[in-house]
Amino acid sequence: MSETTIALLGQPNSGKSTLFNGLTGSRQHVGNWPGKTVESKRGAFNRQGDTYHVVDLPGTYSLSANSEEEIVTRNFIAGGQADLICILADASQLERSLFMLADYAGIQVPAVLILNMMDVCDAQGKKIDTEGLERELGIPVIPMVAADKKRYDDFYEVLEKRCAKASLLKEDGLSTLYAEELGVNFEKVKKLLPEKGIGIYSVDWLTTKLLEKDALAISVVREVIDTAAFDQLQVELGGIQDGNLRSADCKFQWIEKLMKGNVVNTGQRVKRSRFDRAATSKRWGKPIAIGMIVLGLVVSMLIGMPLMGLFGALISGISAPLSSWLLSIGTAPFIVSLLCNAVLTAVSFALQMASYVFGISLVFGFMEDIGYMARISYTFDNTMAKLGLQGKAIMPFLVSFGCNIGGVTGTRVIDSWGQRVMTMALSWAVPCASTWGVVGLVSGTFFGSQAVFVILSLFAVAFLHMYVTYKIFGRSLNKEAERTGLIMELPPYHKPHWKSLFGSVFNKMGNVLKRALLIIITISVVFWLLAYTPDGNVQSSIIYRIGTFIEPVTLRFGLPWQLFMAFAASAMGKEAALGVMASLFNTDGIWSAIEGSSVVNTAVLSTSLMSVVSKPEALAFLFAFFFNIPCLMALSATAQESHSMKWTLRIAGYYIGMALVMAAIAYHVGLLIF
Amino acid sequence: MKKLSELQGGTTGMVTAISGDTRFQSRVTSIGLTVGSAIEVIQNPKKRPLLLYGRDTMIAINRVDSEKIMVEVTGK
Repeated sequence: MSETTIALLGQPNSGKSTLFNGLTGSRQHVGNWPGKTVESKRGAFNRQGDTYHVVDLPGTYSLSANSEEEIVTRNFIAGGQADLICILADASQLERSLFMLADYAGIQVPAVLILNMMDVCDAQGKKIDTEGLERELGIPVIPMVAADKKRYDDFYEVLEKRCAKASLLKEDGLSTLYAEELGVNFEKVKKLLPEKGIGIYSVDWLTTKLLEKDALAISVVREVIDTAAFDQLQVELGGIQDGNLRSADCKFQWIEKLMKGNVVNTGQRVKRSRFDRAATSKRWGKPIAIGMIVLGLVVSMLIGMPLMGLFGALISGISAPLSSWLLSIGTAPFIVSLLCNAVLTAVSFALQMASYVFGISLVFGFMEDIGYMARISYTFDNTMAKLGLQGKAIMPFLVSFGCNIGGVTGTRVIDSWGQRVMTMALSWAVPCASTWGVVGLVSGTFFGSQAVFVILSLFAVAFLHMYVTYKIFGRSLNKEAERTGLIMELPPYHKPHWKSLFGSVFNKMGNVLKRALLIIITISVVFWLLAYTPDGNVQSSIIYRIGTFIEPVTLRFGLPWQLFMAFAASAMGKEAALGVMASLFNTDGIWSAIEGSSVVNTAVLSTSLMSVVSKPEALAFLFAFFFNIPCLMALSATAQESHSMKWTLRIAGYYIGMALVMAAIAYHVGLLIF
Repeated sequence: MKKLSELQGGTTGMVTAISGDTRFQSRVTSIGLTVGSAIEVIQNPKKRPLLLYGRDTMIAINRVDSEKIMVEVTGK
């Protein structure tokens, strides 16, 4: 029985997450790094009685301390909690992806090198001499396909041996290059530092990072050496030009040497397929991407819908027998109603949401897995630049037309936190499928053939809304200086790995479901309490009293109290608005309407709406509804993905405020027109 | 010496200088575009990111940033 902590280190797309999921399965915990907006993923697995804790470090391109992700990574390694660092490289793009290894050399924590995507590498006709690499590097080198759990044996074997004897990555080859290429400057700086390095950092590693003007390395050094030496250091560093460029050059020279001796490329350079030429071309790129995404949305609906129907039917099937059984054993009607109406409805909402997320994650996960997603980002980069974003932000926007939750979870691929949250904030304005359902019904009822103009005006305002959002949040969230333009590798296409794809999709669905249940149940119970009346008469419910009490205020936004409540309920889920309207305008029980939202009798609703609500009020409602926050689930997804409750609430507040302002404007414009 | 952004598809060359701030330089070098590295431009359409081959990898880089990279043309 022993406990070992291993950490996974690698560039984005090196397959870190795939390996992490493969190793830990469902034994994982997702949270935040303390005080940071960076996701922390930890998990564990057992192997022959020993426990291994796995930490999935944030994907970064190097170990320079330029971003929060990189700082988290550096501090974790320096903290000495890990017994072994597993450095991942993509064997199909080996030269480039070995950079992390080169940047690591000099850190005195035992390491192994994992060559992932060996299947693609083999298909390219490349032969890698792993034993040769092991000799030169001094650490185990493990070829692997992270998506294929059957091929983990080599890795497990190394882990078991490693516990007995740990080995460090050899840095002498790199040190020689530094000394040759950087010359006197390198030696001068090195002499000012402790000969044995500081902590886990070797003296050569620290010297290089100082030449690269790395803030974290400077502060580490400042704590250890005396002031005179530090001043001298500043002088030396000030005299060095392009230290970072030259050290990067050294690292790649080292990699080239490593490759020359141990990698044989028998195949020719892979020619770009006709499809890839088309997918990245100016004329066909966008149409192909849009076609693929529409197809993706349709397929994800086809996958998600039957599941949604199944869950919906299952829950309503349980509800009636359960309530009669509870009543028969003498449970108070109040409790029965709470359980069977509020809680069970919430459970079915959450399950249906999860089905949606399942379909979308599967289809878009597939596109990511085979390498096509990067082409979509490339194609849309110029479009997204207009909003201060980069090409990778297009996917979340398009997915949001189906479901905003899918859109928010899709922002994960974007490099910087600021741009990620900015994308989430903007994607909220994209109307999801349910929004269209309600908008279609209400605008059709009130405006007949003119509805098309209403919808066009909603669209026009949506673009304006996005631009305003960009202007308001852009300054603090996505500072000009911190923006990163699109710089990305386009991976070679490869076959999908179904097993690991399904594994990660189920994982994601589980996380969404857990959060959804918690939030939706809480809110449902509150709403149920407000609407509950022992006699079923709406006028004796709290919601009626509140609604009529605040009506003088809501009327300023053009919203009679029933419509305002529908607007409020639409924050739970857009469909809920229909249910609330149906109940409030029919003075039946309110909750039964929310619960049965899918079977709202729209014909009856339309006539009762027409008799009570004026056209300007309907217009006001449409605007308020359209620009309201997407739904609670999207809100919780945003909190989860941004790792910042503060920003999530700020964005939500902004959306609700803007929705009401727009309702007021629409109402007054409506008064002039109609 | 020319800016990377000015090169046509099919051009091969060697990176000679990278300007911009440290953060940008670190980002570009970590993806394999270092001073002295060989590249081949795949396509360079107007108003789109540039596509190139470098170190075994197909890389897309946006126009603004590709102006900061200087290249010595070696062939066409």
